[in-house]
Amino acid sequence: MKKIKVKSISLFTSFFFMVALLFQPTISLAMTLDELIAAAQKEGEVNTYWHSSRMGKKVAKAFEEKFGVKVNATKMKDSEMTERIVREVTSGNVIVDLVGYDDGPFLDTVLTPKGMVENYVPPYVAKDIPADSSNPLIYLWQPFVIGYNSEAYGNSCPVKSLWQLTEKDWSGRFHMWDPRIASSMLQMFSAMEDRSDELAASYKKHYGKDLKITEANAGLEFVKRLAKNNPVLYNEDYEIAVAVGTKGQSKPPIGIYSLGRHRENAKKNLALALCDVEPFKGLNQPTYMQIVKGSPNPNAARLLAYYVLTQEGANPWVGVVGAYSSNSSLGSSPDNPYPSAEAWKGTLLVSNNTNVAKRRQALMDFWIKYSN
Amino acid sequence: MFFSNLINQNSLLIRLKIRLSRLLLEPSFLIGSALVVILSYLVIAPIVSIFSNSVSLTMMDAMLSGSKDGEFTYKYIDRVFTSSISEKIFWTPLMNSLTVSFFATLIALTLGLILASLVTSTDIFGRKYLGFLLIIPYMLPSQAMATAWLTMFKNRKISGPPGMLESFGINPPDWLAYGPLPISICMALSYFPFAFLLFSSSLSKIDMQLEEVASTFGAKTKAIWSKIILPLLIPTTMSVLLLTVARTLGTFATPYILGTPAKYNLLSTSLYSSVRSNESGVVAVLAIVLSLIGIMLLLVDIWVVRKWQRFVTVGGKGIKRKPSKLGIFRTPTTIFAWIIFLLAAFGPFVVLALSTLMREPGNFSFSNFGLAYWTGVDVPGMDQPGIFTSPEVITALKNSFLIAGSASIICGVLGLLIGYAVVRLPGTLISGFLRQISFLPYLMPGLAFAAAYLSLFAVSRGPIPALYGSLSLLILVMVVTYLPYASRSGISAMMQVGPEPEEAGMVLGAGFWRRIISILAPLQKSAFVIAIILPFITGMKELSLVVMLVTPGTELLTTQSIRFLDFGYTQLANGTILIIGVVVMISVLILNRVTKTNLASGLGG
Repeated sequence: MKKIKVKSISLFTSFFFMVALLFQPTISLAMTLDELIAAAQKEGEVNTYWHSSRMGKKVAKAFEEKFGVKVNATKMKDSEMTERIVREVTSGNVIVDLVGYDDGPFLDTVLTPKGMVENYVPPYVAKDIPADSSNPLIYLWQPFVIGYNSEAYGNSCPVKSLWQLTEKDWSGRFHMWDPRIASSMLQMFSAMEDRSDELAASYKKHYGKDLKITEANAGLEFVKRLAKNNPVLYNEDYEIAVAVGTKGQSKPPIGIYSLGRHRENAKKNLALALCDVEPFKGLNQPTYMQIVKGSPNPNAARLLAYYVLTQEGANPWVGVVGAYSSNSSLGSSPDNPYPSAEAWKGTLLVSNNTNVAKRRQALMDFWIKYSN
Repeated sequence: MFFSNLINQNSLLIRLKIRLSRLLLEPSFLIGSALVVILSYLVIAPIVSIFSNSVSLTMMDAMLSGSKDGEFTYKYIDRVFTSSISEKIFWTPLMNSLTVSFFATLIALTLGLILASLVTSTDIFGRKYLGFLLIIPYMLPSQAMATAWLTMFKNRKISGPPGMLESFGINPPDWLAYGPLPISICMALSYFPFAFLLFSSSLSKIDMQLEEVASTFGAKTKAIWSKIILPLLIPTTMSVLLLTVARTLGTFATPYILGTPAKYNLLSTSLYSSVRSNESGVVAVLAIVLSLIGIMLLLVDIWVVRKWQRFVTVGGKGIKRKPSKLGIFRTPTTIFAWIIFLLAAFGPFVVLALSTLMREPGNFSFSNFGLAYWTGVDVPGMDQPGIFTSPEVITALKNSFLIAGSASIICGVLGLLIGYAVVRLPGTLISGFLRQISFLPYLMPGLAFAAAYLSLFAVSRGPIPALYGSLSLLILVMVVTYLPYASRSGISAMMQVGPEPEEAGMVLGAGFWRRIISILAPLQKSAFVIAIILPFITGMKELSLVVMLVTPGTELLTTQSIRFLDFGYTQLANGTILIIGVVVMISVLILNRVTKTNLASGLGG
């Protein structure tokens, strides 16, 4: 008897909540920002796995000073993050609260459908976040660009077409993330398959003849030729940026890394510059922000999620060159070549999560097979 | 009927009683059985889980393909042995691994034997210091040697800041900078101290009477060595061979740092890439292959031990071998020994230290040197804390001490217990089982073992709660992985103490504990110290085993140095590696002082 009563009451309340949500879609669980802050402070800390070290280096400090909530941040590549999220949720021993995660395909096809993460769009900023970035929530767009050393090569990039990177002259001189560790590279390959016509056209434009294709499409052809051309692989783009940008080299390599590395030109005495290369200058990488199911500090996680979508919290990324917040009301650094992520238009590849999910194993094996 | 029944029952009871009293008289049986139960769970369970992982669909793949998690599949076996990528992920790495292991072991064994003979038995200059100095490389994490090599020899193949030779105008060729040669050399230089330690210990334990008898009959030093000492060293040589081969097969930091730029993959790096790309099925298959190689080595060991039986080589009298005179070879051998020390221990230390003291790499002007990276005051990188002011370093230091410390003590105790049970129960199932099972973890690559532990102990099982994210998981996995060190040293130490002293004690009416405390403990003091120190040293510098298991808050010094590298704090990373080296060295010195045993001169003291 009692049980039924409880059940009917909870049904009743949830009905009310639903009605309330219908009328006030921006207020989740009827918590005001002040209430959220208080709840977060009660929890006292929040654990994050983040794609960028700036969470630990910058945001953590500012957040703790402002709200008195400690942020434990660990920088992690997406493959490790995936492993840990799945591991923690399935073991019921969840340590992490909030993740800044690059592997959209895995999120869309596994983590979200399996309910391993919770999509939380902070209601206090929800109106400024475009619908296509809301579910799952993208908090940051980062151009991963092809860059070169401007000290050695001057004002123009030594390659005009991506296809040149598959020439002998650039053998062992293209530096990139290891596709086995960074899903971004698989996302790029998949997006290249999606836009293989443009790759083929660019080949014709550069070499004046048609591309001879031995694979299913020009995108795969490019990936194969690139893999066979002995690219140098890294775990962290910090290393790529240093390899490319260090001054005093006579024949420095070209690399793909996040545009944000350009902010370190002065500090680390590098000469990184953006390559104006056809048909794509790189990849526009969305970073998703999700609360992990069963998170021990959900309110602190929500507060932090909100914070990095405000100007102050986003500044470590958007205040310098190399990233755009999904919050359209926030500005971006004047050092960026374009004022917004959209303004790059077609020059950056954007992958389709469903396509990547379908092709990732095949693309990975394809890559391993041809890389030497 | 009734009576005969009664008598039968009675005799059964009596027999049981006798059995029981025998068991109680023979605590080695109780200890042995308890160990069998504990080790079966801690060692066999992960191995079983690896086997089952190799043929069942992983959670990730099940999720991606929509099948059931754990479904039976040949997918991963196909992938490793016959698929289009099998050559890349298995066959080539296998050949590379065998090549590198062969050369590294050969060099390590030769260096260890030569240096141990020189230091224990000759009048080489500075033998007292060499005994300690030559084991320093063992105290540095293996990534120290590799990083230092790279700092020295790196060329334009991987760009970035110039290597040291490069900044002097010399361009090292690729084969010197990356690939099999530097990997073999770095591994050999990292692992020869182990051979050196074991050989020194055996050499100082060989019964002097044998040599005395030989020289009384007029045998020359050369003949004594070739006919008596070297043959007596064969079991030790086998142990060294086994341990070094297994170790080199499982190391990943060195091939990772020096092999990756040349795309020179070993099984360990291939395994590591599979771990990092979440292919646990492939990880399991590769781990099984590595383990099978290990088991083959184990079988050889069993054969050798059976052939040579056991060596009761500890003499009753504590006579020390008189150092033989080297004559004209004294100076060249001295130079040789010191060069090895400079290359293997001093070199990496200096290179790493320099990198933390120079504000700008490659600039040797006086004004470029400073302590900024250590104190955190006026650091060139601006937003970077100093090594001494970084809270992460402090936490990691504490964790490293706690984890490696407790693991090594537990290990040492377990090692001696295993030694006792194995040697005092000769020919029994328990003895054979314990001997082999305690050595099994050595043959499992650390990465695979860690993966197995992660999947085994992430959730609560029976009386054991979910250990993921706790220090105890790290301690547990270290205890089991380092058990071979401890049990080997425990077994060999116990073997060299014949049962006579204990029997004498028994005759005089000494109980089990009395015998342990008054007879065995003093005899085994140094074995116990070694059984603790070796795991401690290894634990302090362990990376591959723990890198997957650490969580924020349980970082160790080694994993923290990797995190620092991820952050681009090269100097912090190198400084952390230096701290590991210094901490280990100090601990060894303190232990030497406290126990009054000299690790370097083996068990002679």
